[in-house]
Amino acid sequence: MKSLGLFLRNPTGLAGSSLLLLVIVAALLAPVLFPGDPLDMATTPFIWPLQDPAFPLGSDSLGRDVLAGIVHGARVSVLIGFASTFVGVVIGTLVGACAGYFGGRLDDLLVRLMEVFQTFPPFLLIIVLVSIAEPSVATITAAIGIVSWPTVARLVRAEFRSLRERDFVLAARGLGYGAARIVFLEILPNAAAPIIVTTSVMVATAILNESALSFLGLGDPNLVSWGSMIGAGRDQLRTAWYLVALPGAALVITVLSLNLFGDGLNDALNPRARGR
Amino acid sequence: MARVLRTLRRTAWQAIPTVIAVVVIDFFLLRLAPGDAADALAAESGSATEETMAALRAHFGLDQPAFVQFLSYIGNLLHFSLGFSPLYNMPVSRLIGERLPGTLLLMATALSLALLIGISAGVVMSMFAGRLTDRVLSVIALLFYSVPGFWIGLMLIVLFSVRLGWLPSGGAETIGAGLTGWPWLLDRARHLILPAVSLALFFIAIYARLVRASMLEVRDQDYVRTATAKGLSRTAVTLRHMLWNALLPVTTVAGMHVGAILGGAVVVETVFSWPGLGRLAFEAVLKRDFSVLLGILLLSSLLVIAVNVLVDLLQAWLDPRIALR
Amino acid sequence: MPLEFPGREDPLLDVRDLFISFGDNAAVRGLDFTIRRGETLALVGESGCGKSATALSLLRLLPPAGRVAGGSIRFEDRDILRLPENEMRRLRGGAISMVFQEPMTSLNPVLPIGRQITEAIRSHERVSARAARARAIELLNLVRIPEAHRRIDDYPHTLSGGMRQRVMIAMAVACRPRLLIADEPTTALDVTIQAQVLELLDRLRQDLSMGLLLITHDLGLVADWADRVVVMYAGRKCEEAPVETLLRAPLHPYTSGLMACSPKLASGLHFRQGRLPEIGGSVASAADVAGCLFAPRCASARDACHAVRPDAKPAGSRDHLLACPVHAPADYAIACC
Repeated sequence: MKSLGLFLRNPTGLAGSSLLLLVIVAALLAPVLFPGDPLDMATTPFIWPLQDPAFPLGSDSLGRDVLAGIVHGARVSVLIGFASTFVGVVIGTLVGACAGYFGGRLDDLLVRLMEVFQTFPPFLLIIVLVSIAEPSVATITAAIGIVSWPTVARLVRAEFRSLRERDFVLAARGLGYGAARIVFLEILPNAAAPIIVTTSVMVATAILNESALSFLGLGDPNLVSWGSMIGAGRDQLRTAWYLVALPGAALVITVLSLNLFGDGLNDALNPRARGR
Repeated sequence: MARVLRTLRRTAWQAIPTVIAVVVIDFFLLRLAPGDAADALAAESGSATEETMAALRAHFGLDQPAFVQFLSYIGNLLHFSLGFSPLYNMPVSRLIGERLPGTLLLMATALSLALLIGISAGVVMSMFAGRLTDRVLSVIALLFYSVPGFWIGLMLIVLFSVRLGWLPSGGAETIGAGLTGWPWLLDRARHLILPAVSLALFFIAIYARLVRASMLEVRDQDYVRTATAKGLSRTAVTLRHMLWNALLPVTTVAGMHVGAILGGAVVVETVFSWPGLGRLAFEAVLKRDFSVLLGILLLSSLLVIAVNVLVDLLQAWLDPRIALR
Repeated sequence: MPLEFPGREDPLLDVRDLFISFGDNAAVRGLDFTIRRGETLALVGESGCGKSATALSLLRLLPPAGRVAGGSIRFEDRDILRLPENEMRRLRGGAISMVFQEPMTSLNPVLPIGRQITEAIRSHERVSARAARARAIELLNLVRIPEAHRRIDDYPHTLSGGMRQRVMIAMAVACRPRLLIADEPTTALDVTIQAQVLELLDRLRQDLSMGLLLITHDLGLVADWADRVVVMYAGRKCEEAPVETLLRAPLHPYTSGLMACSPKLASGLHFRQGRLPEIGGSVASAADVAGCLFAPRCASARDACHAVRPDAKPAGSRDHLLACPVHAPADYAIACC
């Protein structure tokens, strides 16, 4: 695929993918690299980074290993980030495809639905949903997915509306293909490029939302997440600010890698759009 | 002017079903919430006998069928009442009313900062497209886009409050200082700047990237070539001909951002102990006070709708071709 | 009709040996022509022959990908290619103006037309806003926009294509330019409007004593409105003559071919029934040619034609130039080796 070649030669895409790969690998290998529960006390509290070779990133107020926390936190962020985006993309694509392909009253109704969902401030709605349902990985994933589907739906609808009139679709209909087949096998592959680019941005947003949730104390209480580490470290901001800085840096690197990845994808799939 | 009024009428009319849907969903969520006002009050006061609970429920109308409750909810809304918060012991609307100005100030400042800095950066980036200035600014923009508001807020506090001691670390003003006039204004500004910057960073990046792309697209348009052929200076061509046309997509997007800024305000206000709706929402979440929480949700949604109507008007004013639809 | 002026011999615009390239592609390869005050010079050729690039280069408006690779452009004794940018800006819209091909997209959609005219005026002259507006109304009247005082505040999208082109012309002549470049001014317009617009341009040329460079691929327009014609092929001049001479007795095979293809001229000059003749091949064949650029498509090409690129030389009279030794008359200055 020509696009793949373009993407791999693009410095942004390359940087993004490498960093992202690093984060994902760390997340997957967390239990191997740091066995045991990161919430367990491991050593004396408030060791600064680079003081103790056994704890390169130091320890927090309860003597927990910061590095273990960060690596395990990657699991939560990556898991929720990708899972919730998956939910959002699936719902959004279905809704957007139906709206864009069938048009008419169904389209009007679905567009209205998208508008209503986009009226609620996203993070507020997430907070409301998660507090009603009690925080857990499942509820957080569902909440973020519920809030993010309209973005995908809008995009998919726009693509479908323009592709619907194209010759190859008319040809398929002329051959008597059913709607489902046309939507999934004919149109969707052609609409894939912008969806894929949007997906990477959505994962980044989902990770940011999840971290904000756990910062506020609405994360899964049994798991360590970067947001919860930052929230816990907030009380010691004056003395042990590394407790806030380090998990945050991990967050920034992860989100940055996703954005670089998305930009690289955009350049590869859509070279005209970025200007020169 | 007539064109703008016509757009106003059309947009406001189309917003009504959205308002209704938002209210319905809000009520639905309120019903879904575990416990109700009676439970919350009982938990506060510590006593919970059957009779007390039943009496409380009857008092709040909580034993009525759902539809009746819905009607009374609507009735309350029309009287600008959002229910009563047992935890704060005051009507929700008054509670929100007290906190709303703080959030509006923060949001307006953040949005203004974001637009000003973002648009300027975008223009500069487009003028030097492909060269070093553009690349550096693009990297910075990408960084801003990847930073969570609450974390950068905390880091800014570490730098400017803890280390340098230049700026306060929380609150909206120095309590009890009894300042008036210019010193008061300055004091408020000093408290406002860090939270506003934390909130604005993400959007600075968005507007910079958007304006850059938009300007590059506009640059290739025929009318830009005409403007240059007329002998206009480069500044005049860039600002008067290109920028005006390039700003149209920004207005579309800015309307959508009100909701995102409100969400960001929740964490930023929490970090900076800012007296606003965001922090109120956080407190309501902690204490599971759903009447407050859903009141805030409803109000913010209505605010978003209102802003969208304003943005439609703004677009009709900016682009004379639009109102003909 | 060209007007008589004392010192008419001093050219208004003098282009010598102009080379323009876009990246690796040469669009113009050694073009010369001059324009005198009060005359209409038509630059004729098919798409891709470099006429628009030439026009843009006169105002240094080439897109970033294009550059002037050689030659000189002199306007009233000033070297355009060496002028500092701020002086160039003063020339644009002031002494030299341009009207573009696409009136639909050449006006800014969000500014009223009056505003677009007054800003042209005020960027060159110190006049008050009110005076500029009055001038704008006069100009709109000059270009025959009905109810100018009302339409001055209209937006471009409320005007038809022909009216937009008139507004463009009004903008272009606002500061009484001495040279007006019209790049395919009527190509995007209905045939019925074309004549009106050209009649307007011609009238303005007379009233303002301007030189008019008319760029077009339509020989019919050339026949009606031009004084002299330069025929371009693949970035070079192949023939230049006063319009009657060219129409009556074209010498270059490309020129003859063009005229035979033109429906309007063909029916007048050559009686034909059935198909309109065409010139075989395409401009792209000139890409890597060593000798005459037209040779690959020329029916009368000889070996020498493929080897040596001919320059335009006088053929019979001083104002008829021809770049073709094969079809030259007996007194052609043969010096192609």
